[in-house]
This record gives sequence, structure tokens and C-alpha cells, in this order.
Amino acid sequence: MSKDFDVCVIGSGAGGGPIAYELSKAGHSVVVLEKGKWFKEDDFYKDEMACCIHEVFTPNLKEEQHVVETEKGEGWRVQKTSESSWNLWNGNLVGGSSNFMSGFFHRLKPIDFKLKSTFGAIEGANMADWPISYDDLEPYYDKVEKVVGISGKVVKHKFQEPRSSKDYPYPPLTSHPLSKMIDTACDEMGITSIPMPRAILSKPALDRSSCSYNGYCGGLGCATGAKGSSRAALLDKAVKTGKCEIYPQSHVSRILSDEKGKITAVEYYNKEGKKKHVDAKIYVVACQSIETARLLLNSTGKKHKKGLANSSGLVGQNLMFAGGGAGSGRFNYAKFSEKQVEALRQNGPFINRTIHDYYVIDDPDFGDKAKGGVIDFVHLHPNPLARASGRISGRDGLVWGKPLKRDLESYFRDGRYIKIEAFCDWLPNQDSFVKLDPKVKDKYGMPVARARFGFHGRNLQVGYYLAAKAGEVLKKMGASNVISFASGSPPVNLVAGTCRFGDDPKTSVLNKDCQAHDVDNLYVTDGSFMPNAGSAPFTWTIYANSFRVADKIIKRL
Amino acid sequence: MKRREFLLLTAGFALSNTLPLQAKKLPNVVIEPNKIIGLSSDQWQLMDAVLNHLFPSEANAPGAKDVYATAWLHNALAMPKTEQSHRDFMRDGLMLLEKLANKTHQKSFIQLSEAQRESTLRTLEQDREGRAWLRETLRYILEALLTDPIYGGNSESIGWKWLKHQPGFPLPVVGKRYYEL
Repeated sequence: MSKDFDVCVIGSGAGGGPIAYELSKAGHSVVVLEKGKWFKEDDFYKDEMACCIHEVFTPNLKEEQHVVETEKGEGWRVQKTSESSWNLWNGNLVGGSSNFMSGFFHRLKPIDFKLKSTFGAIEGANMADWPISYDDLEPYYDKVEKVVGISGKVVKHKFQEPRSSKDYPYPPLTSHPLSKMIDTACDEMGITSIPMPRAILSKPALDRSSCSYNGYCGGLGCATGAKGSSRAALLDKAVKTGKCEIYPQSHVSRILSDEKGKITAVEYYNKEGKKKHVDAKIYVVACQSIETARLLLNSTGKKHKKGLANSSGLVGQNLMFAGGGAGSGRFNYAKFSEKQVEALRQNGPFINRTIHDYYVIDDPDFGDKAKGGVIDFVHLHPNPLARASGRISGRDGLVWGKPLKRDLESYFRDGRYIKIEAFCDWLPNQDSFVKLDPKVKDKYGMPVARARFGFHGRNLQVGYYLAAKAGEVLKKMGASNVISFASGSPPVNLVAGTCRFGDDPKTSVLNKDCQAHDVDNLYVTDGSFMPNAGSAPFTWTIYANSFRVADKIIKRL
Repeated sequence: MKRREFLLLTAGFALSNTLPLQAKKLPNVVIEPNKIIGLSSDQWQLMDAVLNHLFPSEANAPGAKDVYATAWLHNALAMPKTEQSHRDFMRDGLMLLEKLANKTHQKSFIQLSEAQRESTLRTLEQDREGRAWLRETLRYILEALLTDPIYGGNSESIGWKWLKHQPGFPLPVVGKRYYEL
């Protein structure tokens, strides 16, 4: 029977991009359905109103929202995102939220693929070894360096993961004077400070421009194409093959399946709000963990009473984020010469420093040997309205009038901050999951996702340990107002889990090729497959795994 | 913006002298200010006084008036996507303040001395709704102060220059403002 396309990809972010790129290059016809608009480089401006104040790149929450459950005493506090400050959308546009990533790129390390067998079970956590090893993924990590474009410099350290290429294809981005200060402090403390790999081109390459060092990167779209978003790095090229079509503003509401359980078509609403269908030989879902789970759960069929690919009942379970801690320290300009201040004031160059020394914590003060994580040092986000708004709330009430003005002067003009971001595993647990809300529906009449954000106590323990270590570095550098803390609140921009992969159909949703155990023509290629998400931002792993799955699909077609 | 729409934007607006030229760059919305949030000209004068108190103008540091905060707020509430409940919220808070001034001083807020204005606002802050309203009002002032000049506040980057803030690039241009994307 003739199909509209060989492959239908739902979602165009880091999980969908590599499939579209590889399959279309291999000569297969691909359609990519993306619920958001197709913005191009010349739509991205350094505009706080567009990026952060108004809903330009995410849906109106009144029309399409989520419901969240957070810990409250013994129970759970339930809030609609349209009536709270939560927003679980991370960027609905061609290229997905990879348009807005900072591109702090870390590989997982070999032990992440076998945490359970290395450290044993953890009470209250659903740990599982991966059905593949680091060696299976390494060639694809390497491919991402070259195809998406990663800049950096390999530095020898005790947790350096094995690499097939000697160094990164692009040199590190220009660094800020603070970077050198971090290096010096770390040297004195016996810590290895590593230039952070970034999915940002440090020179023109791959038919894209270099970074322009304007200082506004994470959270905003890239106007030069230097940032390795799925759109700039992969989809634009996929379209050029003539084999890939992108349907923007096409919201997939359901995946339809026949009595044998095989997918027959995808139901979506186009730009005009008209219901449409498209079919293909293979379907790939990559809508980011929460929406992927929701789509599968909403896609019941004769053979899939509990939702598509959900015979295990595990679709939506083991939702994860990047766990961890945070902190900051301030460098008051009064301590520096006029010339130094001039250099420190610059907004363009990156700090780009990361510490991996605590990837495994082997410290009697902490307890038993345990999986730790990664520390990143970054600039405070420069968006001025966000920064100033934080100054309204004082210790004794609201601040206004001349006191607010003097505070803003000192805050903005007399110094600058370094921010600590500490990443540990968000341990998968039974109180972190996605299901369908029994009442709330979106504008298409489909139930919305309801996510519970339960965290494991270990997150706080490790997060605090890492953040405190980073705080010591800032103190050594001479920073004032150093604070570090851990949090159980999820960073909703880094989301994984909900469709765990594994060898056993009873304990996993996908097999090791990220093909659904229950559905022959379904693959899931966003971060949903991960049994644990590593202790660093995991976008690189999503890209790499999607390239790996693309090879499996090509072999099959 | 077409001239007719601009006239509508300013028609009946008692504070038209505080409406900046930048208002011409504001979006193509046809509005009648007095109907938007049910604020009369007098009430807009009152709002203007509140904004100037919360962020006073100084010789070397711009205030609400220098970044056209009143016109900013007016236009923000007039945007078609702004919800009516939010417009009501901004009006109700103002009325709460005025009621408080009447009760405490038997005067309009606008007739109060600076010290009386401060104490009335501090009393309002003790009320949960009042505090939320003050926070929102302050946020609007900061929006006018620190967002891109193309939106009508932060004239000639006065806010950015004051705080030695280095904006990014490229900056938004006509045709690519947030409501045009």
C-alpha cells in the first residue's frame, strides 16, 4: 500500500532533527510535523519582550497547558500552569527548544550506562542499567561534534571519557577574563578546570556563521546560526536534499493504530485548525518527554487500550530532569584596576568552565562512594528586566523609590556575578511521572499532561555537595556574597525519561534500538528513552542517540 | 501606524502631554483609553502620580516620567491580547489605594504630601492584594525602563545607559517586534 512518506517524525527538536537529516540524506522521504511556527535566523533578535515576557515561542497557556503536582506536606499540591508561574513548554517552533539552549555540551560517561551494577540499588530509586554501552554511543557522540558542530578542547582529567577523535573539530570559544581567574583558583586547589564544550561554532563552518559574541545566548534564538540547534544544524540541510518536508503549525493530537497494533496514520491539526492525516512506513515520536508520553497515552487503539506502546504501563513513568544545585558569587569592581574593570564588564565572551572531578564522589565526609556530577560556571543571564525585577523584593518588603534606584545602580554598575550550576542525576522514582489529567483538556479537546515532580533525597545531598565545592572555588577567587544551595525543584527545560528503553518488555517501553516493544513501526528518539539522564545537561546524548537510531531505521528501510 | 488609529490612541487621553512620540511606534491597535480599564482621565492622573512616586525622576537617574511609564502601562493594558481580568486588577488596586488615602487623610492620593504618599503606599503593601498590585506596578515601570527602545519606553536607551547595561545584537526592528513575529 502506498504511503505518503517513508518516515513521519513528530517533533523537530534535538530528538527529531537527526532522524530527518540522516533519513533524507539516505534518500528516504521524510515529513516532520511541528506544532510551532517556522522561525528563521532573521526572526531572532535580542529582545527580552519576545524571548521572555510574552508567549511568542510557546502556546497560550489558556489554550494549551499542563497540570503540575508538587510536594506539599504529606500530599501533592495540584496547579494548572495557566493559573500558576509554571510553564512546561520550552519552545514550540521548528528546531524545538534546541533553538534556545545554551549548548553546554557534555557526554555521558561509561559508568552512566551501568549505574545500578556499579553502585548498587538505591532505596526509593528505580535504577536500571542501559541495554547499550558507552562504546555503542561513542561513534555518535563523535558524529554530533562534527555534524552539529561542537567547539572545545580536550583536557586530561580523571573522568575524561574515551574518545575516537583526538580533539574537538572547532577550537574553544573566546573566554571571559573570569575564566582565567577560575583556572588559577582551581590550580591552587588541585582541581581540574576544563574548557566547557559548546554546541556553538567558534568559526564559520558547515555553511553557518560563527558566534557573534553578543552576550545573549541561552534562552534566546541565535541570529547567526552558530548555535547548533536542530533547525540550523540539521533541518535546514535535510530540506535541501529535496527529500524532507517540514509541516509547521501542525499539532499532532493522536496516533492511530489498527487491530494488529500497527500505526496506520497520524491525526494532526494544521495551521487553519483543520483536522488532517498523514501516513508513513515508520513513525518517530520526539516531542520532549512530557508531551511524548501524553501523545502516546492519548493514542489508545484496539490493541493499545492503555495507550500506544503502553502494555508495560510504564509510559509516563520515571520522568526525570537535570537534578542538582546552584549558587553564585559576586566580584565587586572596586577591587580591580580600571583596565581590569573594562575587561570584566564585557558581555560577549563566555566563561565556559566546567569541573568533572566529582563525577564520582569518593569522600568520607559525604558517605559511601557515590555517583556525583558536574559543575558549570556561567554568566548570570544578562536580560536586564529579569535581573532588575529580582531587586523589587527586599528583606523587609517591597523596595521602591530612591532606595530601589540606588540598589539598581550598585547591582548593575559596581560588579558582576558568576553563576554556579551543579548537575546530578535526577533519580527516577515512583513520584516523578506523567499521566493524563482527568479533567483539563487542550483546545483540540484532548486531555493535557499532568506531571508529578517528586524528587529523591539523594538529589539534594549530591546537589548541595557539588554546589558547595563550586562555592569554595568562587571564594578562592575572591568573590563576595557567595551562596550555594541544592533544590528539588525541577528545571523544566531539561527533561528526560517517561519511555525507558531496555531488553525486557515488562520493565521498559522501548527496546535497545528505541523501537517500541509493542509497536513495530514506532520509534521514540527524544530524551524519553533514558533510564537515567546523566549528571550534566543531556542534549548531546539526545542528539547522539537519535543519530544512532537513524542508522537502525536506515538499515531496516 | 495609520494616523486615524494614532488619534484614537490619544483621544480623550488627559495625559496626552506625557504620551511620547514613541507612541507612534506602538502597535496597530484601535483603542479608546477611557474604556479600556474604565479609568477616567483623573484616574490616569492618579496612576501617573503613583508611578512617579515609586520611581522618581532625579538629575542623574531617570524616573518613571523619563521612560514614559504611564503611557507604557496604558499601552500594555490596551494590547489586544491583554486579558480583561488583568486590566481590572490594575484598576482595582488603584482604587484600593485611593480609598485608603480618602480614609486616612480625607484626601485624594494626588493631594497628599510625599511623606503621606509613602505611608499610604506602605499601608497598601500590608494588604495581600495591594502588595501584588504594587509588585505588578513596579514591574511595569522596570519594563518601560529596561526593554528595547523600539517599544516606546527606555527612550534613547536612557535606562540602559544609566545602569551601564550592554544590550545584545541584533536588536529588534520594526516588523520583528514581539507582536509581529
